Amino acid sequence: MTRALALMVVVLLAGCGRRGSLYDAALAPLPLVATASTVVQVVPQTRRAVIVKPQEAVPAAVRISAGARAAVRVPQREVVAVLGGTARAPLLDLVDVEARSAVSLELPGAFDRLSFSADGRFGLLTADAEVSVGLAARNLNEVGLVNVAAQTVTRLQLDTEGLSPRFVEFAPVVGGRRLVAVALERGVAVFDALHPEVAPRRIALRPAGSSVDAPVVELLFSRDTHWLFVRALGLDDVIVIELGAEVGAPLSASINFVAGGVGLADLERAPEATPDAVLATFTASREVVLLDARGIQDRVKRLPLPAALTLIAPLSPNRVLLWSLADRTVVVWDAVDGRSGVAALTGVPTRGFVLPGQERAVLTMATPGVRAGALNAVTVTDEPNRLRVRAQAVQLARPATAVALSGDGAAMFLAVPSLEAGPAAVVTLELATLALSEVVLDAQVSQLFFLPSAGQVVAEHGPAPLGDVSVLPAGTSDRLAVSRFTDFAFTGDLDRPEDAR
Amino acid sequence: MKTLFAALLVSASVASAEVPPLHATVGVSSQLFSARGYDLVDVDDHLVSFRLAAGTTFELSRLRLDVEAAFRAGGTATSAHASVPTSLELLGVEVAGVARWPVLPWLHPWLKVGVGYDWATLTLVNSTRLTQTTGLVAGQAALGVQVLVRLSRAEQRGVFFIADFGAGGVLRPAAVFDSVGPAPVVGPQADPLGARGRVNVGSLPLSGITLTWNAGLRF
Repeated sequence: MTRALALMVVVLLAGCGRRGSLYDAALAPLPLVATASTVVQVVPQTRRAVIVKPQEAVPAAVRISAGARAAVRVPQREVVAVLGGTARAPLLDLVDVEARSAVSLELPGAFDRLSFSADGRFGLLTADAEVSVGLAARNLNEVGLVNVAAQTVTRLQLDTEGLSPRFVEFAPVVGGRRLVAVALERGVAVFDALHPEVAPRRIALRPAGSSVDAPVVELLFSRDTHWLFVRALGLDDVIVIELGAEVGAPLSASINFVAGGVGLADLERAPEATPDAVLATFTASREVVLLDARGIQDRVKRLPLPAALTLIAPLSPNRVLLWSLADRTVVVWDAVDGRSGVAALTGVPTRGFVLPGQERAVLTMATPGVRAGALNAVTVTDEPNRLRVRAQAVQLARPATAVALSGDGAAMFLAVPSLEAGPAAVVTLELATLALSEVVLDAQVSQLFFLPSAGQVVAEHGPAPLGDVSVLPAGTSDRLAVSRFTDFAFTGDLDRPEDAR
Repeated sequence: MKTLFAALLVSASVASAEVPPLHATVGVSSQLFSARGYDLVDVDDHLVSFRLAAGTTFELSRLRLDVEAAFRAGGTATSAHASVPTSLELLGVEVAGVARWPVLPWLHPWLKVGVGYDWATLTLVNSTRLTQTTGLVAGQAALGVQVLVRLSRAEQRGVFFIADFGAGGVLRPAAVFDSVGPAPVVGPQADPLGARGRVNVGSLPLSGITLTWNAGLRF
């Protein structure tokens, strides 16, 4: 009896617990990531990737590794990649939102950023020089090549003298190779993702006679990957790198500096009819130039611009749209036959969306000092000697706080506040007819996602760190069709795998 | 008040001549839950409940067998994740059998076995108030001791003040909070949304150690 009482006292004392630390820290989910059919919220504290699917009333969750610090969608796949683990044991979780499962891959180093090719086959892990991960030493020039299908990560040493990679550009698969260009503080490194065993080719970008390194701000492969065009900070010349055709062998490269104008601002691929060329805009000399990659001046075409238009985007196979975030003018130029057209927008654009398949663009704008917003739909009509550019205006009660395009470019969705900081309406604009429909939600909207597989629009209400979204069928004007999900960061909070007592 | 209490004792003494002995108690119980998830709603692992019980007693050869029905209600609340108010409410009914050994006229050790049904309600308050109530079957057993103090002078059956103390355990399946959401709006709404999503917070084991303190009357 005495022994039993003593045992009971011990058990009771053990049961009089103190609170552990599992629920002390505030939940701080990573920004929402959208796939084709879901939105995913990664919550590092609960070690969950919460999957919000429009057809399901209760979001599901997949358990992931501890220490999640970045999440990126893998393009063309229902997979979200999550960087996690610790600095000494870093991990990459590939979360399959359809199968509701995750695969954890060990990484060869502590990386901060993850970029994927447009087809989702390859990803590249890079370090950020400005981020300290708590390691005594870190090699900023190593990168990790992720093969998504094979679920492998290969370490590559870039062997450069730069601080760390700035960004990555993937080329399409051409000629049995998949070139990847890594922009560095002092040059470019190029390697073949299909042959990672071949050492990357490092290319220095110092102009002849110069001792100053020019940081790379834009990389652009030509369609046949024979050329790599580089825009560097402070240089008016386009840096043209001619790449050899080697496959499975060290890549040869030669570099040339091609002059066009003054104040190089943007690069774009040239029309298919001129494969050995690149389009470039110049702000100081106010022109757009089709530059020959070999520097042959007879093949250069120029169009003087009425304003300093800094942005260029393809509008059709032969035509480009030029606009600026500081001017109301838009220009369309056919770089093959030389025709062009100009139009004045109703305001200064804040964002531009170009739909190459429809030879159409939509620019949203906010006029300083004016509460109303607007968008302009830019279309092009062929005339014998010129292009007629039309900018059709749609008035908005307030500037749009978020914009998304449907997958096929047939519709645009805008979040427009009804009042200053009031609930927002989601407006659907059918781009072919400019027909409008809208549905008013219950809160402000900070971000819009279009889920093409589900045909749904997701409006993120913010700031709401624990998750707050409304899901509605694309084009609806019926509030009864809207579902709202809140606080889904709590998903799985009671089933915590770790003990932090 | 004294007159009322005296009348109660007299009427109880008279009634006891015809009916089996009855008892009624009020009490407090503390349930200790050591599951990690319980920290979401509490800071010290205790859930305190108030308990009302009434029953009757059958006399066996050397035992007294109490059969009682009880209602209990309790809860706990705290703040989680720095700023999220959380709470757990536990309401339950219970039927229990208590075997008492009268080792002394005023001291009866006892063994209790009971079954019950509980309603556990989890509430999280963030941008909205999210809540879910789930039902649980509960089984419990406890050991304790009862102290009796005779209040009346009747020779056959008197009125007793009873105080008992016990400790034991309660077994419940984990409470599954897989559909926590806003309470449904009652009545007509102006231009409502079509649906509200819900949250699967997970499951909370609610088996643990119990400590009980009860006081009441037997007559």
